[in-house]
Amino acid sequence: MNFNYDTFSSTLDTYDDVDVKHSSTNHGWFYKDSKDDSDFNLVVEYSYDDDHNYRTWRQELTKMEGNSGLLVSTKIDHIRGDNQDDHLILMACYNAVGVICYAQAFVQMKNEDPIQTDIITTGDIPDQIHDQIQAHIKDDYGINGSTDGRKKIPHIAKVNLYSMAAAVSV
Amino acid sequence: MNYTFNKTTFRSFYPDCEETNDGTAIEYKVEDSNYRVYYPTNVVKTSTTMQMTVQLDHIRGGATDDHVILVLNYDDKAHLSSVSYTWEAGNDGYQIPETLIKAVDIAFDVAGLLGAFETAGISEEVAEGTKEVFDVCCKAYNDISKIVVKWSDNGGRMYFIPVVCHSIIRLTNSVSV
Repeated sequence: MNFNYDTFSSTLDTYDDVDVKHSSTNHGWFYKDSKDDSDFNLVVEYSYDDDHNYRTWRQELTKMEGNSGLLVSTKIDHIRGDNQDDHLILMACYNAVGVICYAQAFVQMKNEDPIQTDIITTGDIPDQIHDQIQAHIKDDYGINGSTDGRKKIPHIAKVNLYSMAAAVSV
Repeated sequence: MNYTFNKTTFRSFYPDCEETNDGTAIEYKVEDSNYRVYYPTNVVKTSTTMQMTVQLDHIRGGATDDHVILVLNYDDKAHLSSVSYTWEAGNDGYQIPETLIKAVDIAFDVAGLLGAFETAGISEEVAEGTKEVFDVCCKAYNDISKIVVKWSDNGGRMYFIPVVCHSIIRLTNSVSV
């Protein structure tokens, strides 16, 4: 089983209102720390509506024995300028024919209650992850709360999961 | 039964890792944080089982590391039968006392995983092992994350849980009989 990182970022760039930054170079992947050229230092950054910014760290992969499944996890940052980033941790599994069969997400936001989804294994998995996060997003996070950017986190989770699915092949 | 843990195979699952602590551990950076995974210790073999202990650290620079200790048990096919874990956060006094997860006790409906085994021509034995390690990882991620996410807003502490899940699979993929 394979995960094509370029397919991931190219797919992400196709969603309405999502704009991968400098996507013409290395499909948007760049070294977060310019002095560290290890693979896991690669990130892709993108905006939503040109206003809200997010960063996906290079996904970590583990193949199950005999290519019988693929576990993929990632951390996605909601970039909040001088305020601490929010973190979305996603874990997903793809079956032996490359189709998503499991996902679960957790969201950390400074000084806010964390958000967690159930273990999702049936139906449109990315859509359910979206809906379960959405159910806990507040209408207003107050001053310096990046309310509009936080409101897009469910959507960011969903488009990341769809783009991860596009990147997986057998 | 003659159980083998292949250290070279195990290390190869961690891209860009470095061997540290006098060759007793590997360290790697992922998702903007650094982690240390010790090679298995306290390996106990019987004719039909193997047990090994693995410590993992979330490296926190100037602060005390977060520590996880796993005890993994394998059956006569080298499939993961159970994992127990303890979790201790550096500095802040949070911990999870020893908790046991047994593969046989888990009943997730993962039809999507199971259905594909036959289509892809995965042998029954490999399928059984994958189902067991998958179940244990899902349960561990769910149970541990729900506790740890309340401790702090530290992304590296939170991503430590996927690191542990990947490591459980990688350890299992390195055991043969």
